[in-house]
Amino acid sequence: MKNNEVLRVEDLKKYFPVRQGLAGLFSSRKTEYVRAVDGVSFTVREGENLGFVGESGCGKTTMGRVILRLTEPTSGRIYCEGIDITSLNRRELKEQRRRMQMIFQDPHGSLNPRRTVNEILRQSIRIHKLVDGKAEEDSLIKETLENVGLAPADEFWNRYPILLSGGQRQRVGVARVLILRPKLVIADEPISMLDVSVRIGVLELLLAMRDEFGISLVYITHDLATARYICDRIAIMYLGKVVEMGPTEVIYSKPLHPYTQALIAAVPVPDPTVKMQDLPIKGYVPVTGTDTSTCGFYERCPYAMKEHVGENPPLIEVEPDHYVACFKVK
Amino acid sequence: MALLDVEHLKIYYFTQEGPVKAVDDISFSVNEDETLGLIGESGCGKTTAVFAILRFVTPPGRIVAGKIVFQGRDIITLSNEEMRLLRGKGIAMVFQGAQNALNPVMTVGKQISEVILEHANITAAEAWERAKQQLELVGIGSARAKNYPHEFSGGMKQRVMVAIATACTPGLLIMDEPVTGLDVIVQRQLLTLTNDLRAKMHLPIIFITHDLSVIAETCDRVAVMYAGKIVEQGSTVSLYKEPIHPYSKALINSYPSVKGEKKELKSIPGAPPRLINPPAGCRFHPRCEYVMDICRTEEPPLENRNNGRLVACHLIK
Repeated sequence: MKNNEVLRVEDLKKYFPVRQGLAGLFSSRKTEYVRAVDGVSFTVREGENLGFVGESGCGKTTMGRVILRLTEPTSGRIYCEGIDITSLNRRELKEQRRRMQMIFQDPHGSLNPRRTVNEILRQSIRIHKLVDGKAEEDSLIKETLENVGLAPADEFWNRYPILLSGGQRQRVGVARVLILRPKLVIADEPISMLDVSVRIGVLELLLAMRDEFGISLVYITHDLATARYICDRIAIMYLGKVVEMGPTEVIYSKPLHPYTQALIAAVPVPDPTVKMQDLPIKGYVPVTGTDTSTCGFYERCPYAMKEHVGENPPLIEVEPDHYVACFKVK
Repeated sequence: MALLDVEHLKIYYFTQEGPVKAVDDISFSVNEDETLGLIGESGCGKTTAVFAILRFVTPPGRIVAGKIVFQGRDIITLSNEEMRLLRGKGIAMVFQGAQNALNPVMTVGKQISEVILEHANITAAEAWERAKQQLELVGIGSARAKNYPHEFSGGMKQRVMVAIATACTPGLLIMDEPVTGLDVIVQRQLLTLTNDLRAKMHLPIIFITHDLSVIAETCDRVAVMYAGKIVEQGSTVSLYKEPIHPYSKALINSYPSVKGEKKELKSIPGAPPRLINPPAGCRFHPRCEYVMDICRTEEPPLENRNNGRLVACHLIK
């Protein structure tokens, strides 16, 4: 393992069995699985933001949860700072969770409505026994609140989440994570529920986590435009697999996988003088994990090749740091 | 004369804490064969404003003042029966989260023909044929007329909603966040459909969204709303190129794009105000970087600045 790797994920899989009801009990049919995450491998370096972009149902949220073992993986290995997360018992996992944290999508649902801002943060301190004594707790809370832009801290100290705006609540969510000084944070659509005018402020805060505190971020989103501003590298997911991964500007200026090309062409541009591009692909995302022997994009792909039916394209490095899973790309 | 003229419209919600001025003295118009975008953040009153156009405002909300003139008639003075006949035929609407607005126990073909039967004097069989044509028009295909809503994906259901809304060739179509919550590729397909329909049917549209880029792809003119007020209005091209009001400017400067040079994004401090007790003077002044003394006390009127651009700001005189 290289020294600057914060996270290494190897061939991660998460299959959910499809319940067949009563009839399933008596039939000899094999249990079918939804392959939410299907063999994903990647690394995150220190102080790097890696974005996972995909449409709903592509498995990106499941993947984020599996990395923290909020959901148990079906198979695969996850190393955080060299420690194999998948082999830890509950006590060891709790210890390790301090180093790897999550920011959730819904800032309204992820904060306890019956605790004030300082109590929410104090709880994190106590669970992980960060400091001793109330005075030290207080000063740590104050410092963290100011770090996330909730200043002066006194003004927010005794407020309940309901008295905060969406942007402020999400800042509390960031503070709760930042106070632990983790090495890795997984942020699942952290700004999608915020007002347009406050989104950029929260994005800047996430960038500051990387630049000032050296925290690596796995940023999970469906929004290609914001991912461009916050991520150093981007991975595009389709049906539980990574189809393309590379440095952000390379992905946006020179996408190689036909699905990536379609995604980027589909994003509307905030410039009325630019004409809408034609979409190179048709149809809709199929149900995850029906036929997995062929490339999942085969049905919709404008370059689909008959000779590759029954084969899955491997994710190969086509140029330094740029990976693509497509038979067309050599 | 414009197709729709909204003049000095005020809609308040009378709550226990006091009146919430959701829409406070806004005026705009929509011309024949034109798409008007109404853009603003959540809670700025954009949905309330168009609900008034269909008279969907229910207590504790009330239209307090103003006129809504559609094809020469003031909608506010119409009887309930006249209003019922106007909805669907005169003005139709595609609702936000329309995927959940379909009847789950009725085939989509039936749901479309139901609207047609209500407004046209034809037989059920003819209406069914028209419903099938509508499904062709929105790109679903008549073969699926007998399917139920659960057999469709989110984007397809949204297309069915568009088919219902356009079934009686309305004089004006209102679309409230029609693509919010859809995946980018499905969103693009629906935007293309909207633009095609407009070209084919010459349908005037009011398009409501918080997404600047969606407006850029669809609208001829745009009105920017903030805290119950229209702060700037003009042609989409000129407003995006040269926003005048500090809020429009900040909104455009804080909007990321996937294409072109990666521009520096500027965040806007603070958050939108609560409308129960909006700031005095200009409602944007606590967040405005150009704030002056007059902004704190006096409300700027929406005035014609140059070539059709309306701006409400003390800065520009």
